[in-house]
Amino acid sequence: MVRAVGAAELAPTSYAAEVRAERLDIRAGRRMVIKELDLSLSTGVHGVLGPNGAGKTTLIRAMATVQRPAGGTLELLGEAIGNRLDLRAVRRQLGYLPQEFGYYKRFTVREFVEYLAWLKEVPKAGVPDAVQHAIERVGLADRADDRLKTLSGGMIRRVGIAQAIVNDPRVLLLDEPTVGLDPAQRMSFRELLQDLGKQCCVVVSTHLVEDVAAACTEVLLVDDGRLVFQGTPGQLAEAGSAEDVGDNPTERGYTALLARGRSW
Amino acid sequence: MPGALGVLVLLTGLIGGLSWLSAGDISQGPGVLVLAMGVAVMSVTLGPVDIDLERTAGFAWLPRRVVHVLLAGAMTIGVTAAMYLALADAVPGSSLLRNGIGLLGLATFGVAVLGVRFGWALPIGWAILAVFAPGDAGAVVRWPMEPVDAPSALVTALVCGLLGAGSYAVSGARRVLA
Amino acid sequence: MSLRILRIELRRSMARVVGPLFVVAALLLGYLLTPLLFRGSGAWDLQWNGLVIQPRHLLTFIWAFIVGFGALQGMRDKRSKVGELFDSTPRPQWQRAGQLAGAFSLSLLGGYLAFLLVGAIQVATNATYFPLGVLLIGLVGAAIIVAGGLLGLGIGRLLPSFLTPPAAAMLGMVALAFVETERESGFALLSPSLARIHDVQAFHTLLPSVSVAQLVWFTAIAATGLLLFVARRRWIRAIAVVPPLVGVLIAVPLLPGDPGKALAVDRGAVELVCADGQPRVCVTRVHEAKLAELVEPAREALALLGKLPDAPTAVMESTAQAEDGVQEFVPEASGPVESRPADFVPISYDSLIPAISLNDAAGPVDERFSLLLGAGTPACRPHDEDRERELGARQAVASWLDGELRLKDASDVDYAAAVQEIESANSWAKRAWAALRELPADVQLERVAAYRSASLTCSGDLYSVLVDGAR
Repeated sequence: MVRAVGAAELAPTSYAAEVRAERLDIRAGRRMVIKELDLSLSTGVHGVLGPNGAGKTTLIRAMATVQRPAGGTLELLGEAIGNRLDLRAVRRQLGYLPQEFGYYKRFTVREFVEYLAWLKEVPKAGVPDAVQHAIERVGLADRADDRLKTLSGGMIRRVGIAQAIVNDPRVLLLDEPTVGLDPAQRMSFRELLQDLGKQCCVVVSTHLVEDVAAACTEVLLVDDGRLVFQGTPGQLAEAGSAEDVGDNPTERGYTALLARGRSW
Repeated sequence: MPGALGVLVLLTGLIGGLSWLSAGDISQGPGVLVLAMGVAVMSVTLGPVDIDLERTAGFAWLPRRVVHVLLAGAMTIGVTAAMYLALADAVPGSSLLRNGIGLLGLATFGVAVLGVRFGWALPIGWAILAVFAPGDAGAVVRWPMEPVDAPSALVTALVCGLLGAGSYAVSGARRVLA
Repeated sequence: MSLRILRIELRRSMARVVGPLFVVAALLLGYLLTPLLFRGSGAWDLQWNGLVIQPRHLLTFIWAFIVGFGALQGMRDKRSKVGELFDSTPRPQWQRAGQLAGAFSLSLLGGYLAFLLVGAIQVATNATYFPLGVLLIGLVGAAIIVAGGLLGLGIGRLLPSFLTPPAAAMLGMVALAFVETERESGFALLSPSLARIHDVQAFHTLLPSVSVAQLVWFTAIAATGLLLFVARRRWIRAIAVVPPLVGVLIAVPLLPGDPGKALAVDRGAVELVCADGQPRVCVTRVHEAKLAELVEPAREALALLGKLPDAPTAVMESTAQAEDGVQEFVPEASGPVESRPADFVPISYDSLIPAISLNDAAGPVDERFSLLLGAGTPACRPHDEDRERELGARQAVASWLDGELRLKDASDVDYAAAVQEIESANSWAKRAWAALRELPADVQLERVAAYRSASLTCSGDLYSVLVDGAR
């Protein structure tokens, strides 16, 4: 599948990292969920780990430009978002799979992905190819013309991934993408992730530690709104010792780092 | 259901108020419309909370549905009667009962056949038809507006009532995706 | 705007059902509640004006549902919980919502046009007169329907609850009913239906000012619905209350104080068109298509009437307005209702006008015989209890002029009352005919001439004038 390369993509990038946060505060309701977080993410697959309520979803929502930061700076593709009203240029380069993925049940897979391509302002001429390519990448080509309401939960999740990548985003945000996928699907999803991570900045939130270990180039550990750890999966594994809770080195590293963070 | 009751009371007040303002006779048109609106709004509550749960749970759904429908009907008739009491001092009990049975039957039939999202269209549709149809449209079309002793109107109401009660009690709300 | 997306919406949103539902409901109601579409000589299948005016009555039943279904559709985004995902996309909300609003409106418009097409095919076989005002009236109809849909969409987006669709439908209906109870003021004309306007005659049209006022008002409603549905910011939604206020301020001064006055005589429609040659045979422009088949029987009838002294010398369509339509009198042909024309035979294709009706439902007879009834005069008491007496005498007179006794045939008539009337009139006719034929020939002529002059002034008991020579 050959895709036309736009001028914007050929232009040299003027930013060092696709996502950059500095002393970032994000509020959800009255509670400050993300507190003074510093972050810099570039091309690759970044797994965001953390216990429930740590602020993973809130962080991803802010990167998806859905949630406005309360303080600090958040830069996407070199553009500071926050007070900016016009996020169109940045949003064209985003792919987002929300934790709760809403969709029109009467649409077919192809129609829905095409609809999202339209919403993401993918140039008209490239839409049919981009849609077909995205559907093929998530392995739904044989169900492309079925209504979404006839699909199983795992397939819907894959539709969610297909719509997220249909515009070949520079920043791809996936919130719990593996929920509802069976083991085989998760394996192929990891391959897809690694593949995607070669071209763009992928941020995956999950609580499945083994997904991170297998597919990510970098791990971010978030706890109570703060970044507790940033490093490679190898470094995460090294952080744990035999005394820590967990079935494998990565899990032991995870619990060790969380415990250390808590004791501060 | 409390939300539905709230909306019902609000709209009844509105219709009552407007018909009082325009000094019309509330015993006919507005009464039928309030009743239709009542069963329509109540019909929305007839859908199951969770369809899959209802399908699988070993629960005696039939009596529950019957109670639910009767409760909805009682509330609607009660609110309409209250409007009569507030505006006209007298409640035309038997025609209210006949119209209540007929319209509730249409609503439950609508919910069973079309689902909660569209079920309301049946009672509202027929009520509007009855109220605004030209006088020579016939007693079956205009059944809620006919005098209490009109046999064809009573039969129509009872048929609607039975049809609704039967279909809803047997199958429940039609499964429709939101 | 994207055509591909529009096509998807047309196929997958409720746009796929509302248009077809509109056609089915309108046709069903129209044919089920026949007086709504088929009233008067301006019925929706007879004249272009009627085609666009009469269906408004149907909106009494349909408009509330358009609003309700619109509300159901307007809730889609909330129900499907797509807000989170769509908020992260670059395309502005107004384009996304606009696309759906467009598909929904297109579907409704398609339904409306399809419905009009069914009528138009019937009208086209019947009418030749097409006033441009029809386009404006038709456009208003489209605006009303689309406004209902958009208002529903807006309400649905504003209050996304399962209770909203029935409540919105009910509110639409209540608003409609309430506005229509404003019998005394032009406000009633702000209702989607023209409920206070019944019997539309072939000559009638809606005042252009009424159409303009309604167009303004419903465009305002549509704007409100669209703003509510499309706008993202709260203050823009708040602005949505402005258009209807402006709309009322512009529309109400344009409307006549009495809703009944919204109908006016279409000057172009009542212009007389005459056949070539003598004696003159004329019909109004609306009925021009009927002229060709009228000329021959009309001239035959005039020749037969020529036996009488002071015989009429022309057949012309009467355009005097009858009954409740008397707001305006059209002088061209027949003079006031009271003075009945002596120099021509007044005809009408509308039973409400005092003239010889050529589409008489009571007993089909040929046109020549109809024109001879009462020796070319309109009936004097067509609505009285004992009208059969006069009707019988009129038939006897016509039979005498035609040379043989002719009775009306009741076999094709459905209504029992009408059959009875025809049979009763026939028996009076037989009696009068028998009595008349017993007289000497010159007295017979005298009696028929006397009948004509008595009928022209509606003086005395016409049956007795013919049979007994009463004065």
